[in-house]
Amino acid sequence: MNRRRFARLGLYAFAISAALFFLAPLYVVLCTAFKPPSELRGASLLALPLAPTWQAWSRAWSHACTGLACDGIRVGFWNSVRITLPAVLLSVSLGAVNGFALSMWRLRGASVLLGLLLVGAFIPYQIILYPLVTLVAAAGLFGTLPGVICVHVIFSLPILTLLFRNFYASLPPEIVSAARVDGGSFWSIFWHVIRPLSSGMIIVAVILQFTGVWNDYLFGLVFAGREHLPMTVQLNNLVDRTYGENDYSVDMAATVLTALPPLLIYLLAGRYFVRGITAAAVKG
Amino acid sequence: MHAVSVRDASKRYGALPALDGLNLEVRAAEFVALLGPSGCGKSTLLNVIAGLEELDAGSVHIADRDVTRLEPHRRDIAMVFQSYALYPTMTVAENLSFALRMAGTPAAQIRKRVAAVAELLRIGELLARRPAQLSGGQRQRVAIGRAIVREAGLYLFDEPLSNLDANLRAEMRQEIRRLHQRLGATMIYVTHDQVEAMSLASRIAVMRQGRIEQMDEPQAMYAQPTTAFVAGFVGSPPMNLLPGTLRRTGGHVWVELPGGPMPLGSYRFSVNAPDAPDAQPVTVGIRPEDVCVRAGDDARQWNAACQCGDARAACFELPVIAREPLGATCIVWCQFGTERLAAMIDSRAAAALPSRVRLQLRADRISIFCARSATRL
Repeated sequence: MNRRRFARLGLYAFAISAALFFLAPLYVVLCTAFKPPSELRGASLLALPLAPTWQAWSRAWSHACTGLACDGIRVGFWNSVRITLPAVLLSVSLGAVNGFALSMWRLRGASVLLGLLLVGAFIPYQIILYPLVTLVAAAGLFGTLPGVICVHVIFSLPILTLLFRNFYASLPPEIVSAARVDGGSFWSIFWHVIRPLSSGMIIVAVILQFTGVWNDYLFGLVFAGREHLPMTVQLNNLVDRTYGENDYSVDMAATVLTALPPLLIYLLAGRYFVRGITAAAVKG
Repeated sequence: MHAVSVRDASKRYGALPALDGLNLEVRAAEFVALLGPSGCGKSTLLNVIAGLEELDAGSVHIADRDVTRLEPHRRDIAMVFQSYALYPTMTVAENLSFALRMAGTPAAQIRKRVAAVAELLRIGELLARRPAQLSGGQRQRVAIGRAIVREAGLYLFDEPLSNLDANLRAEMRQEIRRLHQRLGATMIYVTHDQVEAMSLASRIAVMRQGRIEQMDEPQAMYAQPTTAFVAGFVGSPPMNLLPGTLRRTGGHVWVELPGGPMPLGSYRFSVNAPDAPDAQPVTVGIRPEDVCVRAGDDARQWNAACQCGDARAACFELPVIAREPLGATCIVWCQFGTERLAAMIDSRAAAALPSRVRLQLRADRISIFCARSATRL
């Protein structure tokens, strides 16, 4: 009994120290973001702000200079929203349809296609960046919102297709057979029978995709064009100043603002995320 | 009420032939059971008729229409699956109405048909539930209901009762028989359970390695199997198959069995037998209930159904090696040469059986198969 309690204590000690280790940077970021400029130099990095203020937050949001423009990070926020929402919606829908087609319908060459997808899912972006730029430019989409959205969708399709395919492969194929006898077409079976079954997987895919696209830096920088730079790129421009004075509290506030949307998604849907992953693991 | 005709159907999975030039004719309003061991191609055949799988060669005709290349829902069929395959996210009512909704049936008519089917299958109080909230038997009822709500001309059943426990299976068997009488539709029923096939079907097709081995009415198939395979597959326990030699000397036809000679008496040979030579190796088949058992020299007969009085019938004295009580009857296993011979007798009589018994085989009930081709002589 005693030994057990001791072991439990050790466990807690480990968990708490791990949590502290990972939370420490977040603590510093939040503390600094609430400090007025006067406190930045004098006090220790770890000290709590003496006179907490929202000043840095509002500056970061609407006045901070990123490059030449001084409209704050909100410009990037709305750009990111305009990139992320369509990219997530498109890629998750296409991934689900692809996965359905590959798992439930006997298509010629489906296994070859699946192998190619697997390869595609693990190719690092950087390798094909240059050919992709040429390709997107040839399509006349370089430096536009549809261009960057397209690139995101294309790159996430392999992994999303695999995710959905494996989930659908775990469903009894007789359900689709029954629906085919009952008069469903490919699309009506997908919409009426398969889609309602996939809510767990859809949440998983949305979280993965939203986080991935929102946190993306490279594609946004290369493909979006000056007018549509996403929040991550703007954050970098804000923090990486080559002249003037560094206002650390503004940097920190902007960082938190940029990281907030994926964080909120996790907090709101994390429960379903874990559930979806386990469901896929158990059934697959 | 569609007639179904499958002609020269072939299908392979890689190197494995699932259907091998198969022909099947099902008459309108008939109840045909496809019976066979697993891997014989019976489910493949059903899926081919349904249009869920494509043939490599051959054609499928439903109601005199070539449907070989048609999608399942254009074939005017309905199907019940082994795993029920209910749509998990829909309520029972939505499951029942799915096909009608897909076909664009007016809502008022859908309500009427669903209500009628729910009443017929006594699932009215389940309409608002989801499949996960139903028991196995209830799910099976819903699956059948989903099929019959279509009012199709052909119903296909793919081992629908194999996931149910024994009592429920007997109950659902009656239910399906009742439905067939009531709907008057053509039904094709895949099963590996011969009790189901015997009790439900108007004709049984026994399948083996992608071909139909024999297709006949249940009683005819039971009494006169055309091949040794069918003899050894139908019946529980199946027909005893004993190696022997067919002799014809001096106008008499008899079989030499390991335990002694057996006169054939009134055995009716099929057409291909008369040309057969003397001393032809054969397999003699006899149903366990057609084996008469007597205890030693005791004149008493142990199974009443059997007439052992025939003095010309050969008598064998054999050791009993095992007894298998089944309730009303008991299977007695005897050593017959190198073979095991099963006899089915009254279970009260079996209890008093000595360790050696005398047996007679009813000559008018035996089947004789060519040892080489395994076909009936």
